[in-house]
Amino acid sequence: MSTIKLETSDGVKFTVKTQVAKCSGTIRTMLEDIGINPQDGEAIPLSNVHSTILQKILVWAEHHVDDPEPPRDDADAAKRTDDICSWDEDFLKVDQRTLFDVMLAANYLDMKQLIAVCCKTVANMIKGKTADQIRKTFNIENDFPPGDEDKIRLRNQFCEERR
Amino acid sequence: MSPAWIDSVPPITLADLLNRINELSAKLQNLPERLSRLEQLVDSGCVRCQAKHTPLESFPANVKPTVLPCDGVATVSSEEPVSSSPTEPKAVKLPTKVLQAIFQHLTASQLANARTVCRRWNRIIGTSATLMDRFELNPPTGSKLQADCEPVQSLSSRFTRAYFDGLVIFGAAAWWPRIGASLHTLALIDCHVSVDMVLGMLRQTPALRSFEFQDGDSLFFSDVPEVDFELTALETLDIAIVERVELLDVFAKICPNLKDFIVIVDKKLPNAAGKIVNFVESVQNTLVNFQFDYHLDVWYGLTKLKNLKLKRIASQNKINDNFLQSLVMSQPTIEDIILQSPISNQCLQFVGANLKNLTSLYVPLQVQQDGSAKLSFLDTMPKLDTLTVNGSSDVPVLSIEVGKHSKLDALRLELWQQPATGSNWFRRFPNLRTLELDQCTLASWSDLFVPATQLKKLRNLSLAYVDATDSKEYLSDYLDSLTFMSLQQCEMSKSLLTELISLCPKLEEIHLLEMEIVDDDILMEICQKLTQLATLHVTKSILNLGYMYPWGYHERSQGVRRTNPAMANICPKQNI
Repeated sequence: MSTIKLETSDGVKFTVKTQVAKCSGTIRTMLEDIGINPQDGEAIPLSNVHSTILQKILVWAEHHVDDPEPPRDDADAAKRTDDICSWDEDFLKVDQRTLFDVMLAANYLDMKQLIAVCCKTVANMIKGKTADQIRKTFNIENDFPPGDEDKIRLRNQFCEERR
Repeated sequence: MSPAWIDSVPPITLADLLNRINELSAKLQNLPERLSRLEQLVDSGCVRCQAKHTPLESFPANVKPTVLPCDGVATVSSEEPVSSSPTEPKAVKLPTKVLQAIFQHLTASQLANARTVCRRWNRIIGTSATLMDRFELNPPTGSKLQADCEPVQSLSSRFTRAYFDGLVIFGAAAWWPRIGASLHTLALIDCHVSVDMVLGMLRQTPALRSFEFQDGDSLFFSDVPEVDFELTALETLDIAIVERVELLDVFAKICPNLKDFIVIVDKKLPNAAGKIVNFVESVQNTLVNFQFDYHLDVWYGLTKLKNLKLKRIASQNKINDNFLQSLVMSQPTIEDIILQSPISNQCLQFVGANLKNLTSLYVPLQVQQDGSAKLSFLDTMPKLDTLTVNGSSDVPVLSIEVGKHSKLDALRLELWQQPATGSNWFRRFPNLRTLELDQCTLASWSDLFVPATQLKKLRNLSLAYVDATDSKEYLSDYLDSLTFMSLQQCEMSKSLLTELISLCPKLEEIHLLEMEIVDDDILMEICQKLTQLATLHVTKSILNLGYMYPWGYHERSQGVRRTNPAMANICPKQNI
């Protein structure tokens, strides 16, 4: 089983099965397209990922390494969010900071399936909440000038779900 | 290093390379390290250079600069820096790309709510074409859209669809251009608006693909206006004219690439058929789908158009066999016909003999004096894959005297008696995947379900308002290819339905609409027997609006069967 080394932003080196590392599109591109030779022992620097997050991501990748390619969604309708498998559900039962860090890292590493399941999780946190509750949940500042929010609500009356 | 991959990377100029390096240097903290890596790659031949437009001294003139996606550099150069800028609040800021992916999971109303969270979310949703495609600009009926109309004036969203129904529109020039520019679908239904205004608006919709228009009694103009523009993207025009048939002359000038034309013109308007034919003549080189209503002269007019090559025609008209025959002769390219008046078997045989490409037919059948009709015209239509035949309210007898037809994929029978009599007739349609019976009377349920087991590819079965005169109702075998079943107001016994369910193990979707006999026992049977079921839709009575139970997949690999909580409500005591 071939392995490669990854080095995180805080200087921690991980030795990872090549197959698992290839869950990351970024790493896959490096290995397959650039032809970086994993045998030469040099660690691939992942300067945007902290070791605690990479560790978590590697657990996910290890579990999903044999997953088949997902079918293509049509972007037309709202995608469903009730199909997160229970393993992933448990995996993502983390504080929000960690969840977001995992998403950022997954985005950086180009891991589409992990991004998708994170997106579903966050979408479920948005659904059924008022704008105020959403702001509180995600610690977002209401930066609309006074009155603008009402304007948007007014405009929303002009904006309906398509038939 | 094999050079094979290099050819697959699009070449870019050295100037691009330098720009990119500048961009990246602004974004990356540890740039020197990365640049040295990039240099190494250049040295090792990973980045190959070749002169294209601006050869640079430091590179040999025969080397073309090519940036490779290497070591995360390419990924980091996404539309926004990943790290938060100093002006943003401390909270982790997700990149636009990630937020868009999250928003893909929200419905229109959830998106509307999310837009009020903060300016960034508002902007991201409002400027995404895929997300905005879930909305349409649809001001409440009766709204007055004038020059200074807040909220329309301040709309920043990139709408792709607009539906204006019963609005008063004037002074649109102030706010329309911004909206019209991104629209691909527009409907103006019964609006109080001048023709000049309508044309002024259309002039600003270069991307419009579909336009639906209904003039109201408030559309006013005296002369047919001059137009100096064309809607080259317009493919579908759906127009209903109550008052001003001259509108057709106007539209004839602006849609050079029209494919679908759907038109209804009020009967009382003079020369309506002539105007419709003139319009079709003006678009005859591109038109493929034509739907019209009651103007008989249109049929005659169509036969005169030399360049018209229709693929689909639909008419509400009461036509006789002669009209249909002359049209068929002049339009041999037709693939799809929808007719609303009864046609004789003989005439349909003529249609089949002359339309070599006919794949879809919807037609009421002329009933013979003995109160029956035949399907034998099918022998002349070997390519037909979708057929709907209507009987009449007298529910005539349908006689399926027809040879083997291996192309037919979908068959729908409406208002017939004993369509299954003389069983085994299904054998003639060995590749049937969809069977629908509507308002039919069977001799017995067995007459339908026993021969249906011979349809090895049958996936969809819909029965609405079907009953049986005889109570014989034994079932013989599995319908094991069936994945969809819908039963609406069918008179069958509880035991028959229970047995039917147990004989259709692959069902993924069931609709039981207004079926008196459906009770907890039946639902229990469904839950226990149908392991593939994803959707169950039950309405008890006509008053009930119905409810859907979509539930997730079964995770067999882990020994856990994951089901929707709604399942527990149906079968509370079952260990599922």
